[in-house]
Amino acid sequence: MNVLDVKDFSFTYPDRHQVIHNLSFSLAKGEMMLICGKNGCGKSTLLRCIKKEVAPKGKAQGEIRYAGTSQILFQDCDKNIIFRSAYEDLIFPACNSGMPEEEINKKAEEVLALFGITHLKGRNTGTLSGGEKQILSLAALFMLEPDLLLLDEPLAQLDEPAKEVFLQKLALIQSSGTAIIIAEHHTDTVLEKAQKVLIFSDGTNEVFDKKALKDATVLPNFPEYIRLEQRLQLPVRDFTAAEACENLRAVKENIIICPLQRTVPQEQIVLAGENICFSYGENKVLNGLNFELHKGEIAFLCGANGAGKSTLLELICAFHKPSSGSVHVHNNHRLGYLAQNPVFSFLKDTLLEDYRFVLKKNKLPESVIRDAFARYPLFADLEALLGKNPLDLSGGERAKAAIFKLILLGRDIMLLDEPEKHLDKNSMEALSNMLLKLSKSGFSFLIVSHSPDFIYRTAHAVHHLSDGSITSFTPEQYFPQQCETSLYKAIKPTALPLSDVTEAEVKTHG
Amino acid sequence: MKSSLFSKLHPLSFLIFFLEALITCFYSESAGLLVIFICLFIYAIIKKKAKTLLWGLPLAAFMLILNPIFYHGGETVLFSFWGINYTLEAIENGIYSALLILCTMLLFSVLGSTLGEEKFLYVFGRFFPKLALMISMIFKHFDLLSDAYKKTKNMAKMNGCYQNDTKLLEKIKTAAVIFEAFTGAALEGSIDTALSLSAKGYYSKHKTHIKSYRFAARDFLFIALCSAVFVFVFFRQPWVFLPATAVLFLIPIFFGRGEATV
Repeated sequence: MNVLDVKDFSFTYPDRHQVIHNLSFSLAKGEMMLICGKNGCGKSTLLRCIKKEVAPKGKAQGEIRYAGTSQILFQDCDKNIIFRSAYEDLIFPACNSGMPEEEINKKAEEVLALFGITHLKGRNTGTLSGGEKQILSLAALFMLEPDLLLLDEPLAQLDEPAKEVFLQKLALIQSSGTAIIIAEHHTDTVLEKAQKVLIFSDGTNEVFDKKALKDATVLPNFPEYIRLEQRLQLPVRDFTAAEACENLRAVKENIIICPLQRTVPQEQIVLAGENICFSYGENKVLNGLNFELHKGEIAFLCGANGAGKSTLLELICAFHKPSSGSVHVHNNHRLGYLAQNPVFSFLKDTLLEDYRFVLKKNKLPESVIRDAFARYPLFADLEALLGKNPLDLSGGERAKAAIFKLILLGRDIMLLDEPEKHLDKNSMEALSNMLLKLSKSGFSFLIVSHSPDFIYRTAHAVHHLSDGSITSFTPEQYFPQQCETSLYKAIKPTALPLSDVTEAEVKTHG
Repeated sequence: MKSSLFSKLHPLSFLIFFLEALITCFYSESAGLLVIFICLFIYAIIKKKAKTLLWGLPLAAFMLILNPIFYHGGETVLFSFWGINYTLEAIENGIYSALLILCTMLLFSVLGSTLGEEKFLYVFGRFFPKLALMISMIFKHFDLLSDAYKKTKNMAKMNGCYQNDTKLLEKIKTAAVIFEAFTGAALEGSIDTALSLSAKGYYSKHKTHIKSYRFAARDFLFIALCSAVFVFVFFRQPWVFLPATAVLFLIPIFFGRGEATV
């Protein structure tokens, strides 16, 4: 019996922007469907339309029917949290479902242990990191065993171990008969487990069975190994990593994969932290930490969820005072900061108004905008967006607009907190290229990120934060010994070297 | 850190102790209040909550000064100024009111923090479940609002929005822009909460109200101990009620050390 039936479903927003066109599909018990598509293509809209309680405003046509219960996880981790007490948040859906008290308490203990977050039980949700909030919300969904689970980019903020755990649990709940729809940019492991794939592209939406997937004309956000196979024109049938390995082994002798070319940044130090200590109440976060950032360097700050990465950026910006130690900004360099939630970066209703406002406040002439467009052609596409509300921009555009603002203000050291968080693969690559170009013009970056692929493409240096202190690596030391990119993980059995599909050149002999 | 006995107690037994302490506070005279103040102050230092006094001190000083000005009862006239008689009794009364204010403030801030919001809401929620949920969400919204304000302000500061504001009018204008931006962001947050509530089935009819604390033997023992001491507070002899008050207020120092959260 089908858990979910969608028949000729279309959805149009009140501004007449149609995002879903005549969509029909069905999901049986224990089936998983992956939704792929660019930022803003309608993935979240579809998930919300299915969960009727949270359906967006607009004109819906067609039919969505499901039997049984459903649970949804929103993309924004703050949206999923209601209470101050983490435990209360965890048991809330279960309480609402009328589950008996003993069962709730038992199940809560189980779920907390399952996700390894027993230590979060007594915490205030306001003090949790983005990733911790995400795991907590996921755990809350596992308290119940819904017939249909709707997940909107659940992996975006998780560190690698948490991702693994989450995917294992997902498989578990799937085997118990729950149907799952998951919208995700990190498709690598999800694609293997999915039976169906819904592809959104340029105003079309089509559902493919896994077997029929090879007939799809566009494959947005597909795993790197599939992009590599496509690039080498190898036959793709099953869309699995195992198949990719087999294919690559057959042609291994004939391909050259060049490692990524990295420029070495200048030696001049622009930002340094010395012996920084910091605690939230009794919870010690940073413990005698040292770091350096050089001119033109893109350094990444990595570490587990809740390790204190965002806190370090906030300390550098002097939002908090370290309990000991100090931060030095050398030689009149100026700090710019982009928070994890870009909503707080913009103060005005349109991008142009916002730029004008901050320029005025900094006593800079408006001509700076024109000059900056002329000097940095890679921001040219922002010109068309100047009249738009910053909150209506796509994630990639918003990151770009915020970085452009920092350039206008003459900030040459930029601290970015997970700028790639909800970006699709193309936008992420564009962002990476933009950062690399800017670094060549002398801008320095310290970036917090969870995406190994993004770090691998972009980094000059990687600072790993754990137990309150930093261990620094060059990218060559960090990959693959400390961290594996999604491509490397998939094609590891072939013993091909680590590479990046778009940057590394792949040559076929004969 | 080891968790305290307080944190293991049933909220209701803690509430009984809290009420007994509060009644003692209001029943005691100056000498008793002084004992209470010293005990609570030590506990506040242990709990790193002594800062609360900074709020209380001006108010207490105000009472101390104001009381003799407006209260002219009493027989022992100390001095006269501008035709007002300042009596010893009025000053004593002022000291009493000032101490009472400080003690009540300490009691609420220190023991309140030991009780924890979760336990408070639990006790409250037994009688008014829906209201308790609402209060809990309101707390979260205060957090959201202050968080949105901090973040917006920090970002504006980083973008140099404040640096050239020398005139008051400019400062107010900038503050207005920031206020607008952060209230917008916070309002959006409240819509999200509403969505999340319905997504999590808040409007369903058959709900379970969790009673996650159980009355244990230690609760009976604790209540028996507090109440036994409490009775002696009402004795008239100073050598009975003073030690009793001291013992009652030393209880938190002995049992309340350690982690507050459950």
